Amino acid sequence: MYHPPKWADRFLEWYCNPMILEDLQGDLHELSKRKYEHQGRSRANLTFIWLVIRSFRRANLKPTKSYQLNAFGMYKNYIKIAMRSLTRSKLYSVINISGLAIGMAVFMLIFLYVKDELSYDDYHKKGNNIYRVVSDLTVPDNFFQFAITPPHLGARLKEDFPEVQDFVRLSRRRGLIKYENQTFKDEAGLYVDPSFFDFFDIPLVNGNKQTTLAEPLTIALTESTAKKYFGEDDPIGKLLEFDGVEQPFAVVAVVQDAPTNTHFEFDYLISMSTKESLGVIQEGQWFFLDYFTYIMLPDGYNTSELQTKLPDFIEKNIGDAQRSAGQTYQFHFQQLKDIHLKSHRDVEIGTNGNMQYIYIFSLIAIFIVVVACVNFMNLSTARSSKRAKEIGLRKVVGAVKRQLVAQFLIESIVITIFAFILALGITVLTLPSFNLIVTKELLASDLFENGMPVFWLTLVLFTGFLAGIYPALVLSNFKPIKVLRSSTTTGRENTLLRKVLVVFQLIISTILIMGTIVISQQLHNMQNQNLGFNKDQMLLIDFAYDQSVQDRMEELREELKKNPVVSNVTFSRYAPSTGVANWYTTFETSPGEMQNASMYGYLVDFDFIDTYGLEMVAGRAFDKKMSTDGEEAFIINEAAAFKIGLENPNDAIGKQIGQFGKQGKIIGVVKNFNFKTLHNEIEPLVMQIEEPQLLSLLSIKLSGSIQLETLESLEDSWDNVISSIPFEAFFLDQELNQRYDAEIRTGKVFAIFSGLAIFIAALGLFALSTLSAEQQRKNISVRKVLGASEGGIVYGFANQFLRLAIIALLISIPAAYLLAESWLENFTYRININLSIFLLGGLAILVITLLTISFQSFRLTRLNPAQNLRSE
Amino acid sequence: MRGEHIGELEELVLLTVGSLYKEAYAVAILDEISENTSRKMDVTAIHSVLRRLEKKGFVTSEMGGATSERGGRRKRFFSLTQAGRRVIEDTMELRLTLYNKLPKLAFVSV
Repeated sequence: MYHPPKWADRFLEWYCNPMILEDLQGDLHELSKRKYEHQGRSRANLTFIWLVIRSFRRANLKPTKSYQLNAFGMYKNYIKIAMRSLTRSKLYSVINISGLAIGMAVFMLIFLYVKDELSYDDYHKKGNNIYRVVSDLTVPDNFFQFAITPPHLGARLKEDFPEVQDFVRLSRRRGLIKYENQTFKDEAGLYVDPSFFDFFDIPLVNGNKQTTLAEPLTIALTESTAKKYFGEDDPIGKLLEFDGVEQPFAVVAVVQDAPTNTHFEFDYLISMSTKESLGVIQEGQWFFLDYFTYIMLPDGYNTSELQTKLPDFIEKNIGDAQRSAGQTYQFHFQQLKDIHLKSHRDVEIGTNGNMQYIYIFSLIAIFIVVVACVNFMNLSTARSSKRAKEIGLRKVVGAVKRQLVAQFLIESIVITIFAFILALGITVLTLPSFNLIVTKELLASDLFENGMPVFWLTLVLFTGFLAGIYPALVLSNFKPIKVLRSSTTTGRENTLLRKVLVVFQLIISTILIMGTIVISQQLHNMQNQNLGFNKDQMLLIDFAYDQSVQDRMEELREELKKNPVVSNVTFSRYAPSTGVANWYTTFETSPGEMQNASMYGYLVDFDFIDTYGLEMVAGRAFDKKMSTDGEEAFIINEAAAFKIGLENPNDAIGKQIGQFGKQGKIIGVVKNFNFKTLHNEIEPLVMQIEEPQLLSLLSIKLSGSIQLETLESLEDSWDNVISSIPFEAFFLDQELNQRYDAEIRTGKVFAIFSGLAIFIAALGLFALSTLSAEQQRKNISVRKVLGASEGGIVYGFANQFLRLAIIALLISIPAAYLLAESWLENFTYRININLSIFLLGGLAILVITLLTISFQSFRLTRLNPAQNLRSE
Repeated sequence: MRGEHIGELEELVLLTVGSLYKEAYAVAILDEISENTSRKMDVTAIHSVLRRLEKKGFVTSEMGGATSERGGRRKRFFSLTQAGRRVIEDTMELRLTLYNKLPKLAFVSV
């Protein structure tokens, strides 16, 4: 009996499609057997093997993918049905998709924001080894936490501690730069040590990393500054003039613009040795803080080790200076990457972010996505009765639960994909305005940076899954016999869960509404607070200590006063919108006994008090006729009088006082005015007359109506006297409002998020009302048959939801109260939380609730009982 | 005749299936064809043609009884369907029509 080779047979069985294996194999066996009978075993074997090999063709292969290929048809069907049910009920689809899309868009915007905030200074190669040294300074009855340090701290640290490998100092400069006959005003400059380029990865476009900025009077420009100054010309070797410095500065290098996610900004860099050569930095300046000091430490070094050695270091280097000044230092180390989000000290090098906002924003992002999913889930389940027949039929023709779950998951993923695309569109469209609010330059393309597509895909699938799994499980559990026989069926289970979720959303919305009201009231309050000085129609020009202005002050004053709209003109250093310095001050407490403290100081001229409309509560104002006023007259504010220990301001007159290298007597006390922001209590302030070369601000008080021509004529007057710098003025009230930028921004962000949260909560309510309207059709039909009025039906239906809204209100009022209180604590001049906030917020949420459910409740009144009761 | 073309080999196999009537399985068809023509072909080719024809609906198949010479494996017997029958007749008709024109055409051309 002949048998073909076993291995060939097995090979055939392995690859061949079982559907055709039997007859093919049979044929091959028959043919080879015939061969065996005529030509012997080996020929038969060869034939068989040949035929097995010949049969190894695609048509005969096992269809390895036949299962998926079959199911693909079903998937296509699922997607088709999903599309159909989407287009069948357009309103619900729009609500469902836009809800999800808005949720995702918010997520994307916040994602971009948070990503940018977290990326600050993450691009420096040695970033992990770089620490900034900051100083805590205790002075008599005051305590400061500065980001700035004295000039020699870095060098001493490097000398005394081997682990401090290197240091770099940064010091800010603002002022004019002149090139030929052009003047540039608003650039931000930094004095830096040459090691700057070792610390920070800001590449030089040309120039040597080691030697650039080593020499005094050398300057490096960023690419954009170089372009601004010189156009396409080669900037290297050009000479720039700085006011107050006789020698010109040579441009020695061009550096790339620093990435926006750097904690400091600059348009040009000047060599630190310039300051040394000009004598600005001198030995022993331990109480002259103007330098940001960064040090380089070894890998994995723990700064607490250095921290423990600091007391000895301070004693050795600053001990004597501390004792003679009566001030004491403590130093701390900040990791470079933490500076932007975690450092909130006095005198920061740039505007820092806030870790708290990152947490709040991230929470809001997650909250909104989750709530959007929950709503989607609710709405889909609510709509399920429309799909009941389809599910029943699918089950009858043999669909198993797993397939139905798959169907609904696919449907929800399809919707999520739609929503994602829509969300992308929304993000791209709203990004410019969002950038304006958060003052950033976020790019939508960052959404698809390395690895991000995978993240978004996961998010879409996950959201789709999360949103679809509950309706999928509920719907797939329908009993076909029930759904096919009766007209409606809806899952009754878990309405409690849904109600809890809706109450939760309402609580958040209510808190956000009330928060928005509190913020806007507080902002209004701050902008309209009586500050104690004239802020309206006050025009300011910062001439940055420009000598040509200082030399011709009186001439300029007269020229400006020729304009009828100008009622007063004053020169000063500092004004209510600018920063103000805090100086060492001595004062007489009892006859002959002097004490010291640090107080803020204004350097002004004779017209300052008049121009700003400051009110004298004791003594007199500065007077030109008094020859000694320029030399030894001081005016203090009420807070300073109180600090000196005088209950009655009149007692201060004639007391000795000294500040800013001048000794003299108090001639008057001025009523407190808000020279800083309304965040703070009014602090002690000392005013004195100073020489023109110490002044840098011009304030022009206008009267009457201000038109464009007014400003033009002022500009003409300015140009008549001053040719070196342009007339660039700003209005004080606008400038003051800018100081509340952070609050205004928080207010806007809050308003946007409350709007979105309310929208999403309204969606949730809508979903719940749809669901419960479906459930109550029969109930309401019976009532109608028995003669219920339309009003009664609407009332009964609305009542259930009003109850939820009221529960939400009761929970959110105390929460909103506590949150508002803690926010308002930041302000000294704050509104009181009044009843109107809660009334307004409560009313808003009730109206929104009623409006949202009105659609369903009026549908219920128009319902036809015959149709709903027919099938019972 | 909606584009139901069959190839030359398909036509041959289809005819053979028809002529073998009840005994048409791959090996028998192979034998029949090699007996009547001088074509050299192997059984795999027959198999794929048969499967193609079955897909087009010109033949149907059913499994027959087991025989010992095939190691107990059953044969798959093919038979012509109505459509198969029609397609043979259509093809034949077309050939005849053209064939009948042949002398005239030859005459004219000469």
